[in-house]
Amino acid sequence: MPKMRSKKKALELIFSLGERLERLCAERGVSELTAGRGELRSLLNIGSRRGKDLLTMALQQFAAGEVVKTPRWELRVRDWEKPVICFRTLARR
Amino acid sequence: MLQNTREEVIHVASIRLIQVEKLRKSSYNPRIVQDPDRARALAASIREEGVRQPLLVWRNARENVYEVIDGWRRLRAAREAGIKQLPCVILELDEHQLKRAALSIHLTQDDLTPEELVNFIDRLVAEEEFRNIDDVCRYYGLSKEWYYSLRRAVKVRSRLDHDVSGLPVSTLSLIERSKLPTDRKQELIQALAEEPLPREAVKQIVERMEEKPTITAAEAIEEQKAHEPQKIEEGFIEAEGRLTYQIKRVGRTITITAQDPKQPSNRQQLTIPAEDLPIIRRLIQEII
Repeated sequence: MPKMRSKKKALELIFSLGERLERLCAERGVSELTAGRGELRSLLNIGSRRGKDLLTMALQQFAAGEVVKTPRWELRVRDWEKPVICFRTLARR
Repeated sequence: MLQNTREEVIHVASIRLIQVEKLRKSSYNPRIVQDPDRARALAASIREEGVRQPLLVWRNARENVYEVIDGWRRLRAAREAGIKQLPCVILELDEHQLKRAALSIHLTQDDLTPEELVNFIDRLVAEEEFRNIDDVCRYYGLSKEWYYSLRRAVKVRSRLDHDVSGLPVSTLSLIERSKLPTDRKQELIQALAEEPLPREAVKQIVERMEEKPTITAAEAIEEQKAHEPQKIEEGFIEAEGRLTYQIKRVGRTITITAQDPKQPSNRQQLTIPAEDLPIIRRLIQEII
């Protein structure tokens, strides 16, 4: 299992996941989606990287709550173990 | 009622013991990540001694819950420790006041990362709580430079593969603002993360690296360190520039020596009474 020691890294991973899911939403033309293990693997485990394992660790050890909200999107953790994430883009005003 | 420094009144309804299941983290709590070691230490302390400091909460009447503005980590630790109810200060605020209060409460918390702070400020602007960044800075009495320094620090941190949380935002911002290419900026930050230096020294290192594109960050730091005053013994210090300077204090006299390292015979000395030192300093400040 990979290791994660810094909360800055965890934060970056969460932000980077949000940005990838935002792009995925734009590609699919939807404003909301639920990402489970499969989607997270395909988004984060590029090549031999273990991005999904790192994300699980970031969420379980470092997340300070189930909701992460930025000016552009909101990410809600539904299941911490798998993990399952509900994502929605926020309408620009 | 509590009064903050802006002479704005925050209404406190009461301090009450609230059931843990009625409490949840507010979406206006800017914290996204936490330090697991500190969380474990907090949990251990709460198991031992309970929660001594009340949480700051806001009543969400629509959903009939209390949202924790400050104290979410205490809540989580209390849940783990099996505590059923917690002391809470209930803030009487409308949603608009809540957003503004959330930032002012967290603004000075040291362990909030620059990314979390920038994200939250940008969110308040995106949600039209403030018109723009100028408006945010004016409201909280912050300088725009403070915000943009923070932004630059976030930008530079996001490009790095290693942890630079020990480096101050002002240092990161100074490097980001420099004319150095991105890879040179990263090289310098990496070197400084291992050996932090005062901002003034970093400024000179940056200038040196801008002047000499071939010099490495480690070499520039070494050069800078050679220019830093070295204590030879009590009351005797030395620093290197083009000449080597030594200042020695004996009783109430100060002896200043300047020597050319290439021509040791080229040596000049000045002895002055210690009480005249502020005059010399003022003269130097005037001439610079």
